[in-house]
Amino acid sequence: MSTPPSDTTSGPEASDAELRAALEEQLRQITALDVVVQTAVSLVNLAGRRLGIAPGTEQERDLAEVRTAIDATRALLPVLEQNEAAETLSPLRDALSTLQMEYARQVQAGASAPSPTTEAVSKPPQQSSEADPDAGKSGAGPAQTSGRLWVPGSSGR
Amino acid sequence: MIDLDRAAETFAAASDLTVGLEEEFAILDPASLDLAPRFDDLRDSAAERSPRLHEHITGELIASEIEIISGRGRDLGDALERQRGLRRDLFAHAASRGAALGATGTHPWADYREQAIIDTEHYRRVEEGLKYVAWRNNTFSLHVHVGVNDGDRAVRVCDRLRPVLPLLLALSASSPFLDGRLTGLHSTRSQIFTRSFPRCGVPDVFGSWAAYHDYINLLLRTSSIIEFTQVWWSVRPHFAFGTVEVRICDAQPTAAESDALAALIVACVAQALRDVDEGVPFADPPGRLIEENMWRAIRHGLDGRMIACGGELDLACGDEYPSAQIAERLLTWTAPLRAELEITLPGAGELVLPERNGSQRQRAMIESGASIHEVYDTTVRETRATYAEEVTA
Repeated sequence: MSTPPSDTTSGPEASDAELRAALEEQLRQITALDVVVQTAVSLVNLAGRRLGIAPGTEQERDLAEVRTAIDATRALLPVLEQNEAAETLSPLRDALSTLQMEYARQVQAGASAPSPTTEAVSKPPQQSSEADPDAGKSGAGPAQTSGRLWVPGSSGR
Repeated sequence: MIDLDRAAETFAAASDLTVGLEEEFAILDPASLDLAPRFDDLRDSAAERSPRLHEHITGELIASEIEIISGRGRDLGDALERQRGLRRDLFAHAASRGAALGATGTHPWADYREQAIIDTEHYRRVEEGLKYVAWRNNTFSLHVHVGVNDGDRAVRVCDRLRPVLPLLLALSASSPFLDGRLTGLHSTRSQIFTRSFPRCGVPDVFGSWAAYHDYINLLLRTSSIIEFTQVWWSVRPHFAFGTVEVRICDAQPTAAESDALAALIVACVAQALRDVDEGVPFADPPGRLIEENMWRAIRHGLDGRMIACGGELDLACGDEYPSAQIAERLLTWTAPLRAELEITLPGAGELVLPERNGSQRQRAMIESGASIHEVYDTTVRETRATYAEEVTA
């Protein structure tokens, strides 16, 4: 990213220097663990796209890519487990789990059609907290606890 | 009614590593998702729809439960193919009769006092013999049969699988609810079934067909049982089929998980059989240690820790390890036989054990504010979407 030349408050040279300084500062601070987390999140996001479920990503469907991304994320998990509390990994595990199930479903189905299961995981939770057998008949899905993590189907439908 | 000599003959004639699958489902009202006592209707009407489906449907204790059995497959692939066809037929049939199907170890809120026991000789006997214990047992499970030639080998395979049972249970846990509550258990089914039925759970070590024969004889002589199917151990030699039957797992919310778990169980039985044949050293772990792991599997599922019972790679007996490692450990142990049988798991495409099991996923939904009904609704949708799916391959 670079500042547009039309910027009048500071020249492009100064802006580049600032950016470099900011980057330097970032590199001074960043930990290996940060990079592992970022990588895991990127892989999960990529796998989500390559499943081709979200509207607009249908042409990107590539199950071999999904599998590589899933395997790579799983390979990173032990490193994270050694350094992070179990709760903080929950969203990642949930997202990975969803990817694995959708991947398995698509492989079995020959990856021909968009997933009917995504409907189930795409709806926001209804905020009723007690066990009321009559609640939620409209078919609310699981809550999207995954925060910044992408969950298949969560961006549409 | 039990002919022990005939059972020995059945095992003598059995082929190694044939595979049979049994899957139990809750029959539900599609709108309310309450249990619906529709077994007789679904079974009888299935005859018109598909004779094959009708033949492979059986009843299981209560009228709100239905089971499909693959029959004997030559191997895992054959059994899975049969079962997938039956699943599609069953789900289509149930939908046409206005019923939905659930595949978690317990129904989240159904009242056991309202369930009717089905009217067969076996289940009348079960009810008469067990009373409250039978009534309370509204549970749904996955059973896997693996053929083992020779009764001695079958009994010794069961012995070797004792410490594996809690691991398979932890992997499979899918029943976090009962009586309309989050129970705090990952496999509530095991608490109300496995831990309350007599002759159930982790069996003793028998060591030989002769010892097992003597035990069954004693049960018969003392009128403790009349049929061998009143021996409910979580792993048992099945006298009529000539198989080792693994009965520890909760029913699986998605078909992919059920397939993967079945594959892993077949791999475990096959590996144990190979270890028996090759005389791989094995010290039978004490029951108290396995029971400790059983409890951990019931209470914490894959969120907890397991105690190494011996045999685990790189661990001494008594060491603890995270239950999240269970799948990897079982995969490592069974790697030789999985390669031989061409069972690929997981992540290798066709068979995947997801990172989070059914209980973990359902509990996560509750934590984020969903109601039990919403969670069950989502889970039943997943079940329908995956079990009913038309497979193109």
